[in-house]
Amino acid sequence: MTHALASSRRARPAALHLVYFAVIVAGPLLLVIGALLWRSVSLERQQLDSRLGQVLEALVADLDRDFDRQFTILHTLESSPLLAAGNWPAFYEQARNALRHKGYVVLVDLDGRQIVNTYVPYGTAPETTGDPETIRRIREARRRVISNLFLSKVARQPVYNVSIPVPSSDDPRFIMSIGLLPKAVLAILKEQRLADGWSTVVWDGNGKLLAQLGMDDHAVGTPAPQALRALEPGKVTRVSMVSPGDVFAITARSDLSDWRVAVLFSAAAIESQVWTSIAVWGATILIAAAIVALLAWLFGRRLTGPLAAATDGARALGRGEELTLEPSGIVEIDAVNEALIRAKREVEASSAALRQSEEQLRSAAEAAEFGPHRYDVVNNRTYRSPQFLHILGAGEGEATASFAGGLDWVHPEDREVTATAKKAILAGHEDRYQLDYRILRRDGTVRWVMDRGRIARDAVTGRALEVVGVVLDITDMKDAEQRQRLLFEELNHRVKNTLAIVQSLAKQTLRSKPNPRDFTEAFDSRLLSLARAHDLLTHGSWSGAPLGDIARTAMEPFIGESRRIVIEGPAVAIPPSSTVALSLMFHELATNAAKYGALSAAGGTLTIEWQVAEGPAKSDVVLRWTEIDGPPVTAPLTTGFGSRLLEASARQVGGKVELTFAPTGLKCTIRFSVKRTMSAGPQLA
Amino acid sequence: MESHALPLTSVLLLSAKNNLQTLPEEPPLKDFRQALCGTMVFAVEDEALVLMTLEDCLEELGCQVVARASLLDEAILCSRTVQCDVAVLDINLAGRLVTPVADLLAGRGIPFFFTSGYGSAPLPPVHADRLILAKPYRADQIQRALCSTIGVPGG
Repeated sequence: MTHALASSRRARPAALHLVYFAVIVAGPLLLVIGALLWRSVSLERQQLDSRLGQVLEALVADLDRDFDRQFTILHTLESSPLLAAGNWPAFYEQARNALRHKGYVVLVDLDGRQIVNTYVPYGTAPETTGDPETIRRIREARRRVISNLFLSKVARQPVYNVSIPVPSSDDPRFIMSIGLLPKAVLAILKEQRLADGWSTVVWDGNGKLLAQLGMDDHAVGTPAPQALRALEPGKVTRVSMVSPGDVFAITARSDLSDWRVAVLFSAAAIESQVWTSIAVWGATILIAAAIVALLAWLFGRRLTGPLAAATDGARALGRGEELTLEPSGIVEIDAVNEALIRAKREVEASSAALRQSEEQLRSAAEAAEFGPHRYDVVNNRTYRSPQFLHILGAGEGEATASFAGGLDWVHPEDREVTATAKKAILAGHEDRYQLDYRILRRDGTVRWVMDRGRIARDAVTGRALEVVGVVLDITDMKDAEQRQRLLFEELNHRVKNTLAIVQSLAKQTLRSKPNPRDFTEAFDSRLLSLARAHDLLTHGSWSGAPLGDIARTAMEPFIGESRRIVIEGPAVAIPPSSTVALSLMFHELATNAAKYGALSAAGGTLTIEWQVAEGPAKSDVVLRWTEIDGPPVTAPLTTGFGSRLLEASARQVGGKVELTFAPTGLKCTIRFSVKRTMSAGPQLA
Repeated sequence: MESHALPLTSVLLLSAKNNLQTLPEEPPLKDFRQALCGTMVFAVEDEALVLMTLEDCLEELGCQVVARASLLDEAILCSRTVQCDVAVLDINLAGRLVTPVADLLAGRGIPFFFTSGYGSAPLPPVHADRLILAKPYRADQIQRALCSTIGVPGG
């Protein structure tokens, strides 16, 4: 899954994507706001420029209007008949009245000699004018002139003249001036009533300062600031000055004079406005951005919260933990959650199926006592199931081991063979294997196991990659196999023994009965006796037979109407090895009795009786064979096969036989012992 | 008796060799009947009939059955004192292994061979090299086994 999701693009949290989104939406808006701010700042500059121009224009107009007023006064005085008449004292009076302390009138001839000066009492005027420049200009141009500053001889301070030639229409003979103090200019400046930050400066054609708002009186006549004088007229320029600092300035030349006028606006004032604007708008932008970011965050939380919950849910699902998902209010996330819940149900269902399957495998493994195991060839690691460990008798701590560690459990006698076989299986080409070997459990018990399974191999190289198998405790099976093998051997032994007995029977019979008819009769009879003894043994599962049964079975062929056979005695169990011997003894004795003894004639009686003396370890049996009322004993049994057989058989049962040929009939006593602890089944050794 | 038996066996061995060389056309059975003449045998067999037949067979071969036993206890008792040239031991005596008898005889240097109805006899390794005659057997097999066991040629 991790693989499928990995891509060239780096994954980022949803919240970051939302912030990107907010920036994408808010960015252009902020740019527009910035552009508007920029535009407002530049508009303000334009407004300032325009205002500067307006103020300048008004100021120049006011100055010129003031000049015009002075000129009007001068022209009025020019037309005075007193002037024409040359009545200077009267003219003095008239001129003085006309001005009323707003300046003074000076009348000079073309050579500069003063005729009338209203500043001082008539007749005390200085001889020559203090303003020869005006004389020179009027004589040259013959028209009105507004002078630069000059030092008045009467006022003894810098003043300026507004002058006309007299007569102005004709060849002039006089020059009439109104002398004015620069204060008049300052008054005009003040009349503008400009706000703070504004300033105005007027200087004459020589660059001498006439007036400046807020200036000191002493500054009149000093050179105007060079920075202002150097300015190109009509153009707003930013200028650095000592006082009042950086300003925006515009200058113009007076129409009627050589004077120049400057209007200043403090750069600091305008810039503080700009900065205020920037600060206000910047703050607005920041606040807006913060609000946008906050909203994005709040909104993002509504998205990322459920997303994170879904992510946690998916993780919990991956870990197999409990899954709690609440409605998110977002269709897509609800769909994801629904898919997760569905996946959880499927996982639970398949886990349950897996658990059930594992449980089935486990209970099957436990029931069948097989132990699954897996060997990772590449990492040389073997993994053992609990059932496998149970078979080994090992604890949980030995759930994994290496190849060599896995062999530790093999019985030392089988270890090398098993190791060789396992290596051969890994190196070979077979897909399946089966090995039987013994294991030595921790508790010291030895168990046989069958180890079988499958080898997964590399499709190309054929190299073994993994071995999956089970071990099965086959000890019981091995034991059964062993028992069966022993039983077969025992059976074989008994058959061979029986054949040997039959062979001996034939040989012995042949020795005493060379005649074929006699041989056949005797041999058949003995063989049948042997067969009946075997029947008895088989009936008792080769655990032996009661003595009574042995006697009755042996006597069965001899029971007839005229024969009286009594068989009496307490119950005593005869071991299997003695059963055949006793059977054959009874048979020989009975055959003899049937031929020569009590069973050969009517009225004869045969009694077979025995007593048992029970000892602690064995029972001593005394069996008496007694024949009475038979024909007289003529042929003793001592000859040939019969007596030999009795003797040999007695030895076989660990006893002794005693024959007595009494006149009443044959008596035979057999004494033997029977071990009390008889084996219940066939002996295997 | 034992000190007498060994030289006798050696003489018989020599004579048997000579007989083989000088009279090769004669059937071996006749030769070794003579060769085994007087050999003293200890017979151990639990089946009475089989023991009888074994005795007959040994006597026909010219041997002398000096002791016989059917049960293990009896056989052990005998094996301590019996004076014989060779012993024939039935491996299984009424379900008990004849091994103690074999151990005693081996300890006394008396040669012996086994008879058995078993396909493969459950004998301890120390007696694994001994000859085992499978039941039922013929007289000539007894003869060869005797010859082989006591070192008379022709076994």
